[in-house]
Amino acid sequence: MMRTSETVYKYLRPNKKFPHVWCPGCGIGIVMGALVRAIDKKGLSKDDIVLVSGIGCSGRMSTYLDFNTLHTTHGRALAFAAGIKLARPELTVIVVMGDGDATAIGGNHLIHACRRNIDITALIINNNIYGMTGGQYSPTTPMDKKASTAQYGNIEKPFDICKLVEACGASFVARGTTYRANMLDPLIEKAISRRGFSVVEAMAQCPVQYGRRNIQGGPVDMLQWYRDHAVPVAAFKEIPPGEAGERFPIGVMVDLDEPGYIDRYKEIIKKAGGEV
Amino acid sequence: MNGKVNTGSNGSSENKKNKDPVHLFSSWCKKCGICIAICPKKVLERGPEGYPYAARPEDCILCGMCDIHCPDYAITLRKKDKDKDKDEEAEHEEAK
Repeated sequence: MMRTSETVYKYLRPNKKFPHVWCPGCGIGIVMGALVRAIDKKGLSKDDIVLVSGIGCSGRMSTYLDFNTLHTTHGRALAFAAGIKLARPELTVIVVMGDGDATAIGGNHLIHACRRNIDITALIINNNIYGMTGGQYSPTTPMDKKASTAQYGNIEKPFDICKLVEACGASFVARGTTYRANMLDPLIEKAISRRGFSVVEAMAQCPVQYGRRNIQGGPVDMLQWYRDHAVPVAAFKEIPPGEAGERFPIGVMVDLDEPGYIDRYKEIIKKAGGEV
Repeated sequence: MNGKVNTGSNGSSENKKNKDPVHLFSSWCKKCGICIAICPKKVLERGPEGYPYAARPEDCILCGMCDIHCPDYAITLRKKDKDKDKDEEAEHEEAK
């Protein structure tokens, strides 16, 4: 019998204040559980993992989890992580970012980390809003959805994070939702095992800042919204163009498993006559 | 973990006798209600204080949906295996 919460307990820092700071029904807790289960299943040692986070609700994850952790500045988590990976290539580097952290403040770092294909796993928790700072709209807030800075609806087009990172050259791209938390574990596990830059976009509900403005009801209604609107990639391709509406694909979008930056860098060292 | 005790259904110790499979750590629970809604067998219900409890423990199929979807890691499921159950009880006795 699996006892998933007990698996999570093994990786928490007991001296940090619990229950965690996330609001009742927040999806980040579910994603953190999936991350821990994926790492536990892979059998990696706590000392071999570096968890880097930026600023925002998801940034708290590096405080709670008992790995080598680094809580960095807003949007720059990937830059710090790239430095760690280059200095200690034998470590598994995982970066946890929110949607605003990854695509707005750290947008430049994200696209260039993808382009370099540096061997890092990026877990982007997308809740479609800036939750911690008061519900301002983020680059992933869908059009016409309300936020504290868009009282009459957002007039900007949102980013599709998976398409963005795919276009920039990430070698593994996947998306999951908190409703299908069972599916998130293998996606994160795969992302960690792949070479090159891997991105997992986890759609997580923000019942307080996003949900109460846009979806009637609480976290349960938001999970049901994910159930109704998340479509597996293969089935999504069958939907005629323009008829998808608010539905979005989930699953593995790109899986190239090509050599990443570290492999190529080692080749350069060899060419220059150095020792790897 | 500190304070990790069997609080059972709303803090009572009744669940031990009833072999309640659901194990709630109420001091971490934020009463969001996800576990109650997500249970495919509708085992859980909201108690008087808002905390979930297993109203129909005999229906539980130990699928783990409540456990995996709890954002606060406040729910675990009991093992069905008798020996392990004993071990667990001993653990709790120790914790006390």
